[in-house]
Amino acid sequence: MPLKIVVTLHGIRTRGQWQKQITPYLARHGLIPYHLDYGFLGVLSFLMPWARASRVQWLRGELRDLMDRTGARRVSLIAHSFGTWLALEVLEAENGNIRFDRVVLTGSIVAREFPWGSTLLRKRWIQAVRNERATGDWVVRAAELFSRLAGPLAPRAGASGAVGFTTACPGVHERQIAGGHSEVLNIANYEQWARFIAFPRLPDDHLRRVRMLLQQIRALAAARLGLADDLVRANIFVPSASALRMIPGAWDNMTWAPEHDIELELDHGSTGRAFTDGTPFSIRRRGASWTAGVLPGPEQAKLNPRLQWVLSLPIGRIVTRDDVAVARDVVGVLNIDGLDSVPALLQTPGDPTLKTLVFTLWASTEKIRQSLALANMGEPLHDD
Amino acid sequence: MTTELHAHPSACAECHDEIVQFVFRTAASLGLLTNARAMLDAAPQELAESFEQAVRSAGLAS
Repeated sequence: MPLKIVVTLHGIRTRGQWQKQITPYLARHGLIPYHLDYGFLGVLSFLMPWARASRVQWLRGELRDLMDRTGARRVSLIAHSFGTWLALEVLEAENGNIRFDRVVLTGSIVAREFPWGSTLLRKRWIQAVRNERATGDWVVRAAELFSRLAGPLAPRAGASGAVGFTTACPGVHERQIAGGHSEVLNIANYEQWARFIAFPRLPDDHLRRVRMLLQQIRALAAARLGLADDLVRANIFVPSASALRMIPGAWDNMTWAPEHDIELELDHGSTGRAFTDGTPFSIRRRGASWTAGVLPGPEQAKLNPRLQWVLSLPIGRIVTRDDVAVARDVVGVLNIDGLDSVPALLQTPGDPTLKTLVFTLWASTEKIRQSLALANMGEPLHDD
Repeated sequence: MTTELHAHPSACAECHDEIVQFVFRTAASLGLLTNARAMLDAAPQELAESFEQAVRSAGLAS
C-alpha cells in the first residue's frame, strides 16, 4: 500500500503553529507530513479577489510540484479556515488533474452547498472527508455573511465549519465540538485525524481485534473443510486508490510476500464481484493457471503458485432485500483461500453443508465490519 | 433460508476456473440458522457474538 503524503494548510492571520504540532501524530501512523505556508494573510487581503486568486495559483503550483516530485497520484490534506477554501478552489480549478485522498476540514469556510455528491461519489476527486466543526465559530459565520453581502467580488464561502454541509453524502463525516474557530485545532483531536487519514491502514487497537477474528474465522473454515490449518489463509481487501488492496497486517497465514501488494479491479474475480454485488463468491482453479479474466498478468504473477481456491465474503451490514440477504455499505472483502488442493466440499457448490458454512463465515464478519467502519471515521475501538 | 447458486464460467477461450455466487433467500432461514449455530458450537465466544449481531441486524434472529 503506497505511503501517504499529508499536506497541511493554515488559515489567515496566522502562520499555522498547529502544523508543526501535528507532525508526530501523523508520523506515528506512517504518514508523511508536508506543511505549506503562504505567509501571513490579513483580513483586508482576504477580501481582495486578486489576493485570493494569487493564493489559489500558488497552491496549484505547490501541489503539482509535490506530486511530480514524489510520483503521488493523490495527497491527503488537513486544512484550517481559509486553507479549506483554497484547497477546494484548487480541486475545482484543476478539474480532476489534482485529486485528494482523505481530507480533514477544520474551521471550514467552504460553501455549505459544496457538491460532495459529484466530487466524492461520481468524479472521485476526493476519497473521504472529515468536517470538524465548532458550534461557536463566529468567524465562519462572518465569512458566510460577507459572501452574501459582497456579491460577485466575494468568495463563495459558507459556515460549514459551524453548522455543517447541506450536501453531505456517504464519505463525508461530520464531527462537532463546542467552541470557537481556533478551539477546533485542539491537540486532543490530532490522533483521530491521523487515524482517519491513515485508513485503510488500521491502528493497533482495531488491527489486534481484526487479526484475532480473522484467525478464528480461518480456523473454523479449515476445520469444517477438513483441511490442515496451514493450508488455509485469510486476508482483507479494501478499496484504495481505485483498486482493491490488502490491509497491511490484516491477514492470517499469508506468508507469500508478493501477494501483500496485489491490486484487484473493483468488479473482477470473486473478490471484486463480492465487493460490488454484496454477496459471497467462490472461485477455484481448474488447470495450470487462473484465467486472465480474473487477474491481469502482473498481478497474477504475485499470486502464490500453490493457491487453488478463494472464498470471498463481502464485509458490510447484512440486510434483506427482495427476499435475499445482501451486504449493504460494503467496506471490504474478507477472503479465505487455500493451497495445494480444492477441498471436496468446495467442488460441490450445491451441498447444504457448504451453504451453511459460507453463511456462518459471512455473518461472523460483523465485528470486523464494525471495526473497519470505526477506523474509516478515525474513531477508536469501542467496548461492545 | 434457502440458497441459490449461480455458476459463472469465465468468458474466455480457455477456462481454467469457475466462479460461483452464493445467494441466500430468506424465505426459510430457520433451518440454516440452526445449522449455522451448531457449526459455531465450539467456536470462540467473540466469533459467535459476531455472528449473532449480524443475524439480529439482518432481522433473521429467531
